[in-house]
Amino acid sequence: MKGKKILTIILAVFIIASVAHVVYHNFIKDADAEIVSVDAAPAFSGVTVYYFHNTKRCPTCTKIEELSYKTVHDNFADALASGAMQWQVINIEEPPNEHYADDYGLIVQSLVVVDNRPGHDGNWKNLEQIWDLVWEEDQFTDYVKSEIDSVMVRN
Amino acid sequence: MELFAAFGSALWLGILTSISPCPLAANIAAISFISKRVDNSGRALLTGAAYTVGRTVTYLVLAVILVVSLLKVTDISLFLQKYMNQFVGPVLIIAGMFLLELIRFQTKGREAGEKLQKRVESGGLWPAFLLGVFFALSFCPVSAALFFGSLIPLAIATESAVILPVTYGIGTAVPVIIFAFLIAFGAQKVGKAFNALTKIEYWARRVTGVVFILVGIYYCLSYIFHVI
Repeated sequence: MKGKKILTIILAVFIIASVAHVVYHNFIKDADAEIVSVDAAPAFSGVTVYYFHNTKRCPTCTKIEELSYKTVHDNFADALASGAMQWQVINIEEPPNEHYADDYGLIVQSLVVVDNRPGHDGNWKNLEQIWDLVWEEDQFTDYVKSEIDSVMVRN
Repeated sequence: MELFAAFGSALWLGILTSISPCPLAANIAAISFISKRVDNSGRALLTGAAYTVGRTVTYLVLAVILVVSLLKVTDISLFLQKYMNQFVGPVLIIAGMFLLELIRFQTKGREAGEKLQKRVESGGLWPAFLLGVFFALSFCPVSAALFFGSLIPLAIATESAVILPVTYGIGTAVPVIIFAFLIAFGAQKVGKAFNALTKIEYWARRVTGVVFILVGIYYCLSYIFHVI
């Protein structure tokens, strides 16, 4: 009987702590964060490969990020080194980054290639097939590489 | 022919959703809940069907809202992924506490409360339906990508905002139904052989309570505290 009571109290405290954490992080902390101004980063005039994620990472999402990072760094090392391309990992749940969801119509963790070279007007492509190919490593690599290639060859 | 292919794709997308690693915890809780009526396999199957209907109706309503309204897929998808999973943990722990009789209704609404408690404990159809709704709304990245990213565009392209989401919903519940069959019939056979069905049912209910609490704690640690 005493054990039951102790377990009930522990679980009740855990639930209260969870709810308090949710309320604080979603309503109080976020409200504070909105008034923090963010220094605008200098515009990058090359091709950016973005990996967008939520605060909560899942095994499949982590795998997608790893494969994407590897594909970009193995196949576009020269472009990265010369500054023609950059790799960015962004948490879209952080207030300064929330606009990316609207900018690129994100519904979930995504890999987006944005072309900010002069004359390309920030054309972008969301590589939606990453979710279908994540467990086929070779196909995933070929797909991401060919999509980025198709952006890079446009003059 | 095209619609038939789309129908097959929707079913496959649903099955893919259900076997991906991230809804695993929810599936374990659902299987545990459905299969606790081991004393009555017909009832266990009906409960499984109610759970499936709950999931299916949810996807159908979401799809219709997205197809006919001006609401943005982005907003709904990100909102559900962020907030629903945070809601699931505490609710599952509370449900588990009821199943283990750690908490009981003792105030004015006692009679109604006891009725509700009995319903939850006995594996009623409404609780199973609500569990289906609840888990369907708790999108994780894989299910969000497959539902919002693949199924909704497919439903729009084939102008089928009803049949495809329904098929997808059934697909997401397939593994749970299969396990419910196996556990319900398996446990009944074992129980009959040892003439201990009531005892098995008693323990199945308690195991379900423990599973709910453990899955609830997992959801809290994972989606609220981000420690696992």
